[in-house]
Amino acid sequence: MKSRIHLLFVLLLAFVLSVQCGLCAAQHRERARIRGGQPLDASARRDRPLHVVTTLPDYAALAKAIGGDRVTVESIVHPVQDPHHIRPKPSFVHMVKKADVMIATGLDLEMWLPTVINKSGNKRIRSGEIGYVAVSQGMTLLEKPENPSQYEGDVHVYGNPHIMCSPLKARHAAKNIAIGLIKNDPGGRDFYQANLSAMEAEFDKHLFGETLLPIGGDTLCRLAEQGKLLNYLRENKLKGKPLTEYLGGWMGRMLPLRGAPLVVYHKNWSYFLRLFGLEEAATIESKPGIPPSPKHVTELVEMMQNRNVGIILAANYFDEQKVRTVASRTGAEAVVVPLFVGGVPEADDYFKLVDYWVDNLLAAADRKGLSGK
Amino acid sequence: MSDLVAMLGLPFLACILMGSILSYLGIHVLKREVIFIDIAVAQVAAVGALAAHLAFDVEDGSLLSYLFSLACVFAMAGFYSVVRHKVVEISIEAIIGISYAITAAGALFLIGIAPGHAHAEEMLAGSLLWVTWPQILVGLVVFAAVGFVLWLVRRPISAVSQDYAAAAAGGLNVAWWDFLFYALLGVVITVAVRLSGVVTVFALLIIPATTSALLATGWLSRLLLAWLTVVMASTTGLLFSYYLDFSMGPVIALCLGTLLAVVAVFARLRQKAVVRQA
Amino acid sequence: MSEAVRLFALQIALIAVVLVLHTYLGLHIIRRTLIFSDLVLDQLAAFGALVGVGLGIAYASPCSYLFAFAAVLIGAFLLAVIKPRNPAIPREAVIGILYAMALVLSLLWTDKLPGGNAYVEKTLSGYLLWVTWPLVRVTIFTYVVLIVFHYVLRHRFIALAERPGEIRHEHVWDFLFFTTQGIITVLIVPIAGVLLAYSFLMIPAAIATMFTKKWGLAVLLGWALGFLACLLGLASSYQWDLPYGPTLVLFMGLFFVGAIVLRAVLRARRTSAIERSQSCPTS
Repeated sequence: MKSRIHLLFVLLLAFVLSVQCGLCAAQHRERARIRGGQPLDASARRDRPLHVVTTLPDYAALAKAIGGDRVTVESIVHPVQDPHHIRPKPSFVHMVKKADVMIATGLDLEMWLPTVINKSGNKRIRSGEIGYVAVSQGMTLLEKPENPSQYEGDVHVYGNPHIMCSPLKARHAAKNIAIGLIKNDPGGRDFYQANLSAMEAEFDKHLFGETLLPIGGDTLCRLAEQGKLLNYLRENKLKGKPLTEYLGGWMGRMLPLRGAPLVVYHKNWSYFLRLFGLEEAATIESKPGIPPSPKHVTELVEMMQNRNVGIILAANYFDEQKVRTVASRTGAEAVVVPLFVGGVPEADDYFKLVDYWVDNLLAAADRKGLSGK
Repeated sequence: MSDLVAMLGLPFLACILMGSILSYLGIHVLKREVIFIDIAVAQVAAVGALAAHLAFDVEDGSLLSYLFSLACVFAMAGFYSVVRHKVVEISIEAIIGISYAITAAGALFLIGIAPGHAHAEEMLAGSLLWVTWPQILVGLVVFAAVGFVLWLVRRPISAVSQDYAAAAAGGLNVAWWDFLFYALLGVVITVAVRLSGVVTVFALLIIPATTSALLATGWLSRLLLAWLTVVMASTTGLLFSYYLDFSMGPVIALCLGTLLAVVAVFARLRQKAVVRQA
Repeated sequence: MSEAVRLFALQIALIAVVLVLHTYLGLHIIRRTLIFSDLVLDQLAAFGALVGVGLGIAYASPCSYLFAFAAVLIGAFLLAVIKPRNPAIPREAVIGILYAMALVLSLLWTDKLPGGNAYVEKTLSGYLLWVTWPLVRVTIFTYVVLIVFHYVLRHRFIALAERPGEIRHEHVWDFLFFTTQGIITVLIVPIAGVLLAYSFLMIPAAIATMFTKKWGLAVLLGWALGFLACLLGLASSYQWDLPYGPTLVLFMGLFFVGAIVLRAVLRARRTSAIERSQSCPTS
């Protein structure tokens, strides 16, 4: 009897040891492929690409567009994931360990990031070091809470961090990313600068349309940021018509919807709504991060019916069933869209992502008869 | 290789520490046939931590947080040992099961009114990957202390575990020893849950003890077998979670379960072989 | 009809019907002291639905129910078949381990699902607030069918609980019992979540069992108290903006603790009354 038990121990121990050896061998092979920690030089040609790791897929898309062949880019968060609630995995630590540059929002959206960076032991990319790029650097933020309290929900203490929902802020983010890349790879300065300028021109074209470009992208963006764009366009004329007639791009397409009330699932659309002049009538969540309570849902439904709110906008990583239930109870249109680049196959870069948002919103507004005011 | 040790070294240590004391307590728990008490106690500990976070705004690893959890656990322990005498119409298991559901709902209730940064799945799955040296040291100190106390009182506690009625008839103050046992269990679980979450702690409590019961009957052999199970499952589990990118706690629990299944099949086959020979 | 009234009507109708069958089945479970078998099935139902989600099937859609049902059938099979002959291993341990494995599998699966974290909370806290009349109708209909089935065959099932080992084809009746449990689990877990479904099953039955052994009276008592607790929970959740599912469980828990206290007090009174009558012999 006892010898059988001993045999069992020996067999199982052997099994475990062999598993370990096999996995160690696999890891040695993998390590050979990883090259990390090489000093960076300032020469124009790089012997290996700058390895950039970003938290969100949007930053990765921008970084790749600006960095071109000089960078390799990876994103930690999956395009259809909620960035607040990521369960950090061993693979995150791997990714982060190899990084020369870490691009994150820089606010309190990715609360799991410091733990991952600490565990990886990569000192270069810690907050405040040269390798850490905070995309929100220098941005003015909305919704800074006066009394952050836990009972108000998952409140972001620096202000609303979902900056990539506004193309204006995304343009600013691209600039910050370029600055970060230049800092870490000075030899590529001209290359990054050129790509950035091209990208800014793309942004301006998509935002305002071709005709108004001569006014200057920076000027137009500054006016839009301050909320003064439409006044400016109304007051100034070209060939007898106010400039608003020449407004194209996203701003032009969304003009008919200005002032319309929307219900959103979570307060991540604030910058988008502000840019396009839409009103956030309510959130489906009771408070940020808190699932709705019975009273909140009934009041929401009644409000939507009274005010005839026709559109619900929600990111597709939220519970779509809740959105559709509210939509069916109120007769509203549910617009469920990916929040990040790559969230649907069609939205494989940032411009296509915003196109997707605008297209779907306008289609829903059409169906509800809201556009063409 | 150093990468591996850097990532997995502390989690492995945490598993060994927890596993060694939990598996011993698990043998008692099996004999007393109150299986779900661990999950109920772990839930209470988690609720205590949440409540402390909300009421006093304390950090998760602070002393006040631990003490508050402990207070809730002791209250629960007291409740169980009192109720066991007073209510005989339904089994203690039913009461434990219901209290598990209630405390889990309590946790979700607290998360629902003020989420902060607490999430249900983290409470369950734990965050073994991110365990730190201070946490390990706390664990080491607490488990060593509890282990020492358990060694001191091993005779009365074992007597009550083996046969409750006989121990009571023999003149032992069973209510007191019951309370002590549950209190010690509670202390261990309160600390362990912070390390690896509710499910892993439950698995480490029950499964090594069950596996050892399939192969041996004496206390010492069962204890050694249980420890061996912990080591094997932890090693395999940590490696699998590292390479296949899963949360560590649940993978270790799964390895424990798989190991149990393998041993169960082996034991059944061996039994049949013995019967055939006879 | 105002939204609030609509909501209340829906919830009350659903809970009233669901509690009848849950109380009755709960009485069985408590008598047979297989407390956690339902928890295992609940968690497996959740896991089945999650597997469906991973394969692209919407949560709580008819196809999703099929997955949940498959998982529950496997669980029912394992529960009926795994009976350790080793006296050192109580059957409850096996059930506990099965529960842990079901929970672990759910957690590991959601590890790989994008947006999976939200599903864990969804399966635990439930979805009761979002049910629509079509879903409620299907649920009520199925429950009524099962209630009739169990009423007609009640003597067999009651024998299973009170005199195990004595009836013929015990395995078959066992399996039928667990399958009933499985069906209601599949229906109720996506809506109410694992914890509330389990509470519906256990708490009214536990309260009733503390005060009476008669089946009919127990069902009535359990149902009435459970329903009252849920009503209070619904009202409080509405009034004070509390999370709905957990509040219902907490109110039932309150009633449960109250029942324990009452039971203990009554027992103490009865014991002292007996002692008094013994110390004063009347003959």
